[in-house]
Amino acid sequence: MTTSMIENHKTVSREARKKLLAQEKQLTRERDALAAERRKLPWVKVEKNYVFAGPNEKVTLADLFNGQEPADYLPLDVRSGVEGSLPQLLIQHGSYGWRAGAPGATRRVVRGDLPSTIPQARRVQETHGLALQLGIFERQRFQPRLSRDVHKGRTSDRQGEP
Amino acid sequence: MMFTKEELATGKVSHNFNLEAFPGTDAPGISVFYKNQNGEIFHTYCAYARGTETTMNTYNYLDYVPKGRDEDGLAFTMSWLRHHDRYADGRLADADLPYWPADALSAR
Repeated sequence: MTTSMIENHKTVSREARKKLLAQEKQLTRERDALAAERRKLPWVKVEKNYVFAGPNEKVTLADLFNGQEPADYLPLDVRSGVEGSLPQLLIQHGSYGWRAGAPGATRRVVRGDLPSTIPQARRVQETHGLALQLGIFERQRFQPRLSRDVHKGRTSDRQGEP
Repeated sequence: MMFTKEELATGKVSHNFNLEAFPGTDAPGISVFYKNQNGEIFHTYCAYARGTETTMNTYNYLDYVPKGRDEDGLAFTMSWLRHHDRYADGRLADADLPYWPADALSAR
């Protein structure tokens, strides 16, 4: 959108907002319905014994249901109190190189994106039995840079690849 | 998800429920599993590409404002994005990959 287009944007009464509100409410309800359909999807039984290269050692898919990950670079007060295996697991692969989607990459725009997400991740472990694994496989590469930020609240230096 | 060099060499990889060309060795994705009381594991859901977009909270904020994501003039969406500690020098991740336009490389 060009600057002249946005500067000349039409101004109208607040009735237009109410029309959009109806559309927004419809989308909210449709999103709920879609999530319900998603939960109805048939499951695929995992027969293969997947083994991944974790930050320190090899981990199996079953290991990833452990609720303690990925808390090791976080201050103690945001870690979950849950120990042992949880029933649900969500893995997000963040594409660390491609399009620069590293953990915390967007924090510059919305400050606190990662710190607010991870404590909430701790919380859903307790309330929903959900283990969230947000890119643990590359964490070793990025952990030093994240640790400096999370603990000291400043931008890390650029020492050490990547 | 990740692709091997051998898979990429074939020209097309299995991505986002299709066989398609892809410009790198890893791609964003979400996978969900359930483990029952017998220890059996089930794959319940997966999503790729824009299917993971709801987890990018910055976009949720940008979608509220007049200029929106403001990505139409960019070489590709999210090309404004850098690692969180690399905005000062603008250094690109994987600068050797083909999706970066020449001016992005020279502006580093």
